[in-house]
Amino acid sequence: MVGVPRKHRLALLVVALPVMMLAIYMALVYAPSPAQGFAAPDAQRIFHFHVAVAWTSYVAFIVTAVASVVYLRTRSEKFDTLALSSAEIGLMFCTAAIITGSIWARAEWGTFWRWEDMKLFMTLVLWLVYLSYIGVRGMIQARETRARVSAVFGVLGILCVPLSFSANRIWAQFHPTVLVTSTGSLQPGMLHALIVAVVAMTLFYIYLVLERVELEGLHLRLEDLKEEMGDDPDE
Amino acid sequence: MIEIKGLTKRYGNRKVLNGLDLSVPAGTFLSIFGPNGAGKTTLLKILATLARPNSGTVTVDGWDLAKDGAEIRSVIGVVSHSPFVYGELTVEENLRFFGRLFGLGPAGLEARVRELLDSLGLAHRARDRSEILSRGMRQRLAIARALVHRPRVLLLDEPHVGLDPKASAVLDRTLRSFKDGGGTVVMITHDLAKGLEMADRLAFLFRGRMAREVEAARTDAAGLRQMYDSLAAGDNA
Amino acid sequence: MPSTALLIAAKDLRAEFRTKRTLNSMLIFSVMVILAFRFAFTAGDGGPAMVAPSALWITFILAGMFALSASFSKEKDQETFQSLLLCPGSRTSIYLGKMLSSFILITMVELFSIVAMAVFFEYDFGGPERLAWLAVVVVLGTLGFVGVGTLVAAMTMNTQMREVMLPVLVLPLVVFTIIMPAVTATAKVLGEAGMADVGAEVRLLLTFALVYIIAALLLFDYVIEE
Repeated sequence: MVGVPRKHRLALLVVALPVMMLAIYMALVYAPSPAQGFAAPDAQRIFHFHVAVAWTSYVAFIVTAVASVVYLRTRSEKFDTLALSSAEIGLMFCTAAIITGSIWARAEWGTFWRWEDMKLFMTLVLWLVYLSYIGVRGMIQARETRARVSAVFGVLGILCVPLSFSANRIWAQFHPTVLVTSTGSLQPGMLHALIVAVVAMTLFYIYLVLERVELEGLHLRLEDLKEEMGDDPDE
Repeated sequence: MIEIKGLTKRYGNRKVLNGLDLSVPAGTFLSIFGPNGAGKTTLLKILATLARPNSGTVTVDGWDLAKDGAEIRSVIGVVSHSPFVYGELTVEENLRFFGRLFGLGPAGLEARVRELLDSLGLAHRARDRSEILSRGMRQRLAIARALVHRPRVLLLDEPHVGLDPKASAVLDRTLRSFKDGGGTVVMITHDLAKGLEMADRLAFLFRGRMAREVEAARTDAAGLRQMYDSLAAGDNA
Repeated sequence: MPSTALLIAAKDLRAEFRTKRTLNSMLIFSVMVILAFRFAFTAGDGGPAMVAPSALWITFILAGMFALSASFSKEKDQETFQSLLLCPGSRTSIYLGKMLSSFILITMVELFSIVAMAVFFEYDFGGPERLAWLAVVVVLGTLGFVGVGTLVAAMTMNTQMREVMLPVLVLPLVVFTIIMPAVTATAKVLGEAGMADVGAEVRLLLTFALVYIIAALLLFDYVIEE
């Protein structure tokens, strides 16, 4: 199939794992606690992971949208496979972002969720859109139709994010606004930890996508074989 | 009239059409035979601009399928086993709607609708909703719909299926007068006798290619049967 | 070719008004939803004024799904979509025609829902100026919803369980972009504050409608080809 050889994927994992270990160490030990202004200073440490997974999930969804456009242009199945893989892994990272964010919010604000927070909000929009993206794929049997329809939705999905974002600004005026300034009070040690965490998550994302692409390749091959054995799928 | 070169259509990794070549001169009635899954319906869908080929060139009446879809659609008429008409609308409303979509003006449209209703024996049902028509009557309406814009090419996918002898005779008569008017017909059918009866040329589609083409005058029912069976035997081997 | 779009829209409406199947189910459904809100919030602390804007839009969107889905599923079931594709007009005029007929049906149901709302909630929609602003918000919000909804309905035409898939795909795209500003604007128009500052919402709704319609015009060809 289209995938990367097993050897290279393993090599990537071998690089990603130590970076991940380092990220955990830096977030929990190396980074200082924020000096002031936080109700639960040590809970702030989860933000290194939170920002990293959230960032990775945005990257993943952008990859899906770009791969969708390329698929519609070229009709090459590998871009559909990439779009699907990136959407699934992205959804996983997005879920992690929401969970880590909520844990922090509980410790800091005493509540799991703030509807007024635009970043939470945007993440939720993405989460919903790509959950539907994966849902619709399961509902279409014909492979080309599935690829085409989900590519259109992949493009629409990313399009609706900035729109939702600007809608939320209006709403935020209507309600009290609390913005999380994740960079405002960053001390150097925290910034280092954050960068390492972002790198670690990005490597991990690439590894997972490559594995998922490989798996989807096998899945499609299986579909082909089944089709060859069955009779007359023309009608 | 229709020129096809190296036409390939894949669904997934499966090649439904595999480098198919076909040439249909103007005024020819061509019958295409072939087993299920040989790609007959796909071929017709591509000619009707309903499906995109993966590679190959197709021209219809000089228009290139890849860029002139709208022009091709305005010179073809399609009849399938399904009537493609609106059940909630009456017979004449259906014809008017499709006539206007094909750009017929109000004056020409009414005359054309009358003409088709009369020639297909639908005049007494003109104000009935098409959903209450019998299968035969609905198929007549389908033929009228396909002819409303005076196409030069008719594409037929098993048009005789499910028709009683009378409706079948009306269809045959209409097709003959279409051909006599200089029209080109491509008909897919499983009915060897019917295909032979109507056609000038016969073609056999196996595994996405034209396995053989013959002049209809050069063979008879028994010869045709034998030809088909030997091709089918080779196909299964 | 806009005349093709008009022909298709006129055909859709003529077929619909002959049986009124979709329209009737949408009207009955709207009354049910509004009554459900009425019963659920009788003892609520906010009172009807708090409930009305969200109840209205939830009703509009859910009832609207029927129109969007029927618009394509009727063509699919009768296989008439093929015959539309066989016509020489551009494919995007099919989108525009479908969008127009759904827009008209949904607007009729919305008008009915607003009246039903006024009756069941004993709600005062105020003078002509308020109503005019309400109309602007409703029309723009509906335009955006129908704009993206028609595209998605065409997408789901070929999926299994298309009646479920349509709302599943449309809702995430419209909750934040259409429903939220529309509800906020409706609340402002109907609220004590008057319609002093719905300008921002109206601009947003207009922008979203345009963006969705332009995107749909660009993407529709991909959705319906085979």
